[in-house]
Amino acid sequence: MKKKLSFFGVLLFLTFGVLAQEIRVTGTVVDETDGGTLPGVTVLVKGTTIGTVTDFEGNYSINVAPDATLLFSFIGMTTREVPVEGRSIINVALVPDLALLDEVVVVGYGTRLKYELTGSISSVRAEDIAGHTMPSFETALHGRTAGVHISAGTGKLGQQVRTRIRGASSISASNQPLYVIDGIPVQTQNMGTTGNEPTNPLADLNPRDIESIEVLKDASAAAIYGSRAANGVIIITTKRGKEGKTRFNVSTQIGFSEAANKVGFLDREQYIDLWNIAGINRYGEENWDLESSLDGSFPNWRDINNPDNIALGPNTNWEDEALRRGGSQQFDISASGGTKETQYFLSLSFTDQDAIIVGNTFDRIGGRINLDHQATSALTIGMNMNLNRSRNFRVSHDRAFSTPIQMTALPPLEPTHDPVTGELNANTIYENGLIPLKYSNFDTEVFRNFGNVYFSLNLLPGLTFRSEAGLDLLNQQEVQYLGRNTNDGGPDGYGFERNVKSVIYNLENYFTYDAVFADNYDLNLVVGSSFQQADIQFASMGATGFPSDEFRRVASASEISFASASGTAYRYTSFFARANMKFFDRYLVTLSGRSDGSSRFGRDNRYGFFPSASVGWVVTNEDFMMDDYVISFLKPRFSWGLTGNSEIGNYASRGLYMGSNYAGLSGLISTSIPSPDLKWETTTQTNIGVDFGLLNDRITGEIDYYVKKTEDLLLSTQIPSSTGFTSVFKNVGNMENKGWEFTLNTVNVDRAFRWNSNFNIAFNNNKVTNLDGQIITAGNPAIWRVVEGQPIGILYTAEYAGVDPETGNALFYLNEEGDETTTNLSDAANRIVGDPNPDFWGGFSNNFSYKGFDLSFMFQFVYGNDMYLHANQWQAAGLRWEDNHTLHYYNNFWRGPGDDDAYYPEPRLYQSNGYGTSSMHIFDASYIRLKDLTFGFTLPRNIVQRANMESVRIFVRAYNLLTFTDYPGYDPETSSPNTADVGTQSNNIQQGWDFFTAPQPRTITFGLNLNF
Amino acid sequence: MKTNKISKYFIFILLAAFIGSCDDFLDVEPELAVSDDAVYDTHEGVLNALYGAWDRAAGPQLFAGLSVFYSDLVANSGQVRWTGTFLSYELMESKNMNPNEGIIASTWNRAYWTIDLLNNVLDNLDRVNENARAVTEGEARFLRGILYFELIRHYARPYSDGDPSNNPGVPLVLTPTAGITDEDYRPRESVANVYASIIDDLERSKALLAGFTTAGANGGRATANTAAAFLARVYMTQRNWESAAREADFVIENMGGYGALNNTPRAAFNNDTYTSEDVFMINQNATSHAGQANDGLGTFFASLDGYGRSDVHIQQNHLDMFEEGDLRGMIDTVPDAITIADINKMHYIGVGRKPNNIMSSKWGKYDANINVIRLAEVILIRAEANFRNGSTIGAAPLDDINAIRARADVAAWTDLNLDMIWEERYREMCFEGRLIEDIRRFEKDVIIPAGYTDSGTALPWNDPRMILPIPQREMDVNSNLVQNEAYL
Repeated sequence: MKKKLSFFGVLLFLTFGVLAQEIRVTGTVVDETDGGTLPGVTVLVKGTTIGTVTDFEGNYSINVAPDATLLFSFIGMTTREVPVEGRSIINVALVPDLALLDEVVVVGYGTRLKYELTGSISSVRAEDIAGHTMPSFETALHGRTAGVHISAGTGKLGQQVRTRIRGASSISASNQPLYVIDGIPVQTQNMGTTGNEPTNPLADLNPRDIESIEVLKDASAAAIYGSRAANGVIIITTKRGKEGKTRFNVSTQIGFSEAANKVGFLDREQYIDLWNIAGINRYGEENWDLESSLDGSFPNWRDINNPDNIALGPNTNWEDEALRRGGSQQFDISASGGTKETQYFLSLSFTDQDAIIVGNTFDRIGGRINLDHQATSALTIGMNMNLNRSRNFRVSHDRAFSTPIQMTALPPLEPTHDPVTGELNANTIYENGLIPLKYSNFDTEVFRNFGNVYFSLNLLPGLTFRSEAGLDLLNQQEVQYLGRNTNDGGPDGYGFERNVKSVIYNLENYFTYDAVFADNYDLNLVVGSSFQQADIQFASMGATGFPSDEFRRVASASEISFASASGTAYRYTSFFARANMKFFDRYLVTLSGRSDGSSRFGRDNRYGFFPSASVGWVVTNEDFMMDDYVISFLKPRFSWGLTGNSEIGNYASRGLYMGSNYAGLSGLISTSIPSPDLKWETTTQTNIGVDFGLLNDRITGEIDYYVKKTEDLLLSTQIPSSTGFTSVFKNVGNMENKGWEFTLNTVNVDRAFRWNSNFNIAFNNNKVTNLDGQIITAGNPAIWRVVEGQPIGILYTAEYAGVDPETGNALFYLNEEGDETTTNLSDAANRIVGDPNPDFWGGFSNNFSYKGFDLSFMFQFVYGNDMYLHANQWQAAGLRWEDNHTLHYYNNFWRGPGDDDAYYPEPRLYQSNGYGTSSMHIFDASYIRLKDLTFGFTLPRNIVQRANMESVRIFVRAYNLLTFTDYPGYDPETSSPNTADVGTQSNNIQQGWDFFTAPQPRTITFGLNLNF
Repeated sequence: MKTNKISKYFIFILLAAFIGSCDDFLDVEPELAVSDDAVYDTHEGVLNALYGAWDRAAGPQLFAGLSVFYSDLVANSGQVRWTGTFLSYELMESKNMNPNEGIIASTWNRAYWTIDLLNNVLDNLDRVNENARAVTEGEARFLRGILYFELIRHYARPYSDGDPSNNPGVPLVLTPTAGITDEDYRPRESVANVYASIIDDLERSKALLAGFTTAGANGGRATANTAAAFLARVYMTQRNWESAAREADFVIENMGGYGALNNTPRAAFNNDTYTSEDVFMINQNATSHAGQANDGLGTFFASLDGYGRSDVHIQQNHLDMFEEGDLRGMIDTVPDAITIADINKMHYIGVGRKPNNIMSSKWGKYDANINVIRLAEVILIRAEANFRNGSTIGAAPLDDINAIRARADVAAWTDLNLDMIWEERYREMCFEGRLIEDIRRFEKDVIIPAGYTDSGTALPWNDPRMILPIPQREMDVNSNLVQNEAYL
């Protein structure tokens, strides 16, 4: 380690430095990988504080003793020591740091070097998310950060993403992490109407503005955010300017996408075949007449020109009507640079995406200014300002007949258009989704402004005061119109308008004190306070009676059917302190504490205190390890701490009434019973970990074991509804998460050809340890449960025992023991039949480069989670209804006596054979997915320099190229969030729900990146 | 840095650091909702809670669902076919209900939610201005009485089946909920005791509301007539024919006799206000109704241009119940039926998304008032009760029946038996939620409709499969409850 070397350097200097005569040394510093000059490289005379910085062109000049040694250091590069040996010109090439142990890691209220950390923090760099094509960045974390599990809501654009860091720690309060952008906790809750899937306020941040993302996982890292950190903290740092000439970056991408998977439904021939089999099974061959049966059910099933030829006629692939080839384009330009006093980063970005689902489009345009200015030697001031407009043209939620994916329920015998009139076919068994697609719209427009202004004051040597005032402003307008001839909008049209204004003010003030005592005792102290106030205002109205589908705004409506306006607010007030101590560059201690007050609790229980402590030992800095050539870095660490959770309703401790309307007679109805003793939910987390580097840090890694115990759960406890209330928030119960995380980074080849790998895997075991006998359910049907001794959200329903091979009847286990079966589903015993929580998940990525070529790929995997494929209840139901069926059903239903391979029972037209809620539709949703594959080429320097460019890179990038899974639904990575915020109890419990849930896109993107 | 400059900065720092540090900063009052018990401190507050209770009682889970739709599906022998995809309703039609189904719980929860509001109203009557006190109490008792009646007739064995003083009814809560204590984990009160409470509430309500006796009086909420009409229904289920006939007679006299019947059967339905025939309606309008997409009677029954899911299809054996020329059995064929107003007969050939099925015209407008009790029903109650009792309170049974038949344009009868009364009730009252009570009173079998594994099976009138389960959620929470027989 160079740290210990520098310690020897000090000795060296003390002995010889003072005796030397000085000479002038000049030179240029370049990046070894592309030969580009490096401005801003620190050039230090070893063992002194004498130094300089390379200029715009990477040149430096310094006066040193001829026998001195120069240290060249630059973030992300391995520091290089070069003895002067009397030379006057020293050109240096720096190589990228392999292990990044000297990487600067952003922690709450400050930064640390990676090797100094005693907590568990994962980092993601800008380049990992630069090419990301989804509107928000979170999905890029899955597979790149051990312990972070992401499940995309649906394949629709701009929707909230379920994020779990080390499992779920709460049942009724949110399990989403806290997001902090440039020091300011931001709004991440659903701001959309309750009538659709939750929208994602993080889609308002341009992923290409992000410099780094740090995920604070253990209590030591997160406890500085106290009451809001129990689910982990995700810190996003945006790009800032560096001293040097103005550098422009232009990046543009164009992408093409299609559904990552199609389920596959029956075509005309297969459907008629199934219909015939099901009809014969139901009515007997002698009573069966295929054609008259079809005539009775489908008025348009025959070809109008050849009505007697049943091979002709409609053969609609409704899945293809719902899914399309999507596309995206993106254009970003940024400029950054600055003088010694003032640095800036400016960016402008535009992105436009067409989802793979018909009717769904997202675009965003925005700009950012990040500015830092040193006003005096003591005072630095600056600001970050980000203004975005995003528009999301949405389709209805997954449960609505009008949502495009539900078109797959329509049989192939029904034409899209009426064969006589040529109009869209209105006589389908369920609503023809093409009708609302044409005559309805739902546009959401968001203006978002993240901004903060800060000043930082150097009061005394080592003592700094920093004050940040932040504003997160979100202004959203939703305009919806449902056409006159749509199911939901008929008979005379329905218009809906909604406005939301969310304003979060944030004030952070803190002192930082850095000092080294007696050379060997490093102290970093942070003490400060934080205040936050959030106000959210809503206004909405609905109207009916539109003259035609051309007039879609409420002004044209004859009748206002409802109007509503309301608001909600919460506040936090906090004080915090942290001490980072480092002794002899190898013994590390961190203590932190935060006291939080929240408006959400009753007067007597508002404040909570959240302390943490952690220690680390850099064993490799001990004398006895100095010469170890195998183990280049070793740091065991241990942490313990408390974090809290208060992410419940803003007024959960209150007894509340709200307004009611009985045909114009206004009144009040009770909505909650008071719970004056409600207080913080507390999570105690213990983490034991080790960071290691082997073979000169060619192999580095981290191993962590943690135990998270949550007590005083903020639980929506169930009470007899004969009281008039079904639940009351109380601090009841305990839950725990235990798990392992492994991360391994290797530099496999380190020549002109470079090959790096990363593998990470996380195991989490969630268990509800005490619930005071409560059983909490979610979903409709309510098959997701929280019960003592089980993981959150286990699936509890009748267990399917397979097909009776002789009769084709569906069988279900009659009793808990599972030794008797019944054909009557309603007699079957309910049992635990699945667990939606994964056993383990992670990622495996590789980066290759040779000359200008680079290739990288990343697999992500999830294992052991069950999914309830709810749509299967109709689409694998043996023609219980006319719904089209899946090929999975068609290839796996019982064909006759002795068929003992069949998964699904015998089809019986219009008759139930095991139809209903059971484990028949629960499937393992484990998968491995080639999430990201990138191939790039950086043009040789000598060519681009002729065009006054610094670098030019072209690339092609593929997302979700391959998926390996046995899951028969659309996509094992999605889980419908229903229409609630992902932080609500229903979404905590109801994981792994696939109800006509749209798949993720498979995207191929071509990109160009210019630096000049 | 100079000292005075630093001190200037320090003032700035102190200002910045302590903004909002006072405790009041954390006092945030809700805007949307009223907090705490202050609601019941004033006259207006108590009335607001009463009107809130009306709003809750009107929802799709109660008088636009439970009392009409569920009753007829549970009692359906194949006169209609449920063709929708909502599993809950299919399970009702197949008599295979599941305690986990959402609507089983939502109906139960909504009823008790409303009852708690009413208990608060009744507990705080002393806050109500004296001149409004009797009416407030009368309305609250009426609503509480009829809600318990809806609960007991769906979630417990019929009064006439076995020993009502031993059969478990439903938890009987007559006081407001304060904190949650052990006492709130109530067992099921006996059927007889719940009935006693219902009759007590309704009789007192009838007396307290004696000043309101015309259709739609008291803002179209409770009147002496509504209380008496419900009492008549309650007594019928108890087979207390004499009392049922007296209560029915009270209503008919107040309403003005046969003359108050509308001129045609069709005229009684899909109205925005009370007609002369309506004894009790749930008021609805464009901003306050049971739903038009996933809930509400019209949603399931209608098959119109752009409205209705066309889920309940009329079958031939229903049509076979009607005599030639019966206005109640006719079918309209309007090729472009845009709204229910275009339809003049009691049935029609549906249009829209699932066209060409025979639909009922009774529920075709999502924001129309919902008929809960019509005079025609009360006349039929008086006829049946008198017939069974061998009495002629108010009128002879044959005259009452013939008054209903005359309005339907069918010939008068000259003699009468119980089966004829059963049939006449079916023809007049179909799809209005009365079928389950009629089956229990006339002790008719119910046949499992086509399309289920045990289709064609005959269930006796008191089969436990026609009683709703106690919601599983409630069973899980409250160990003092016992489940109904069919769901053990």
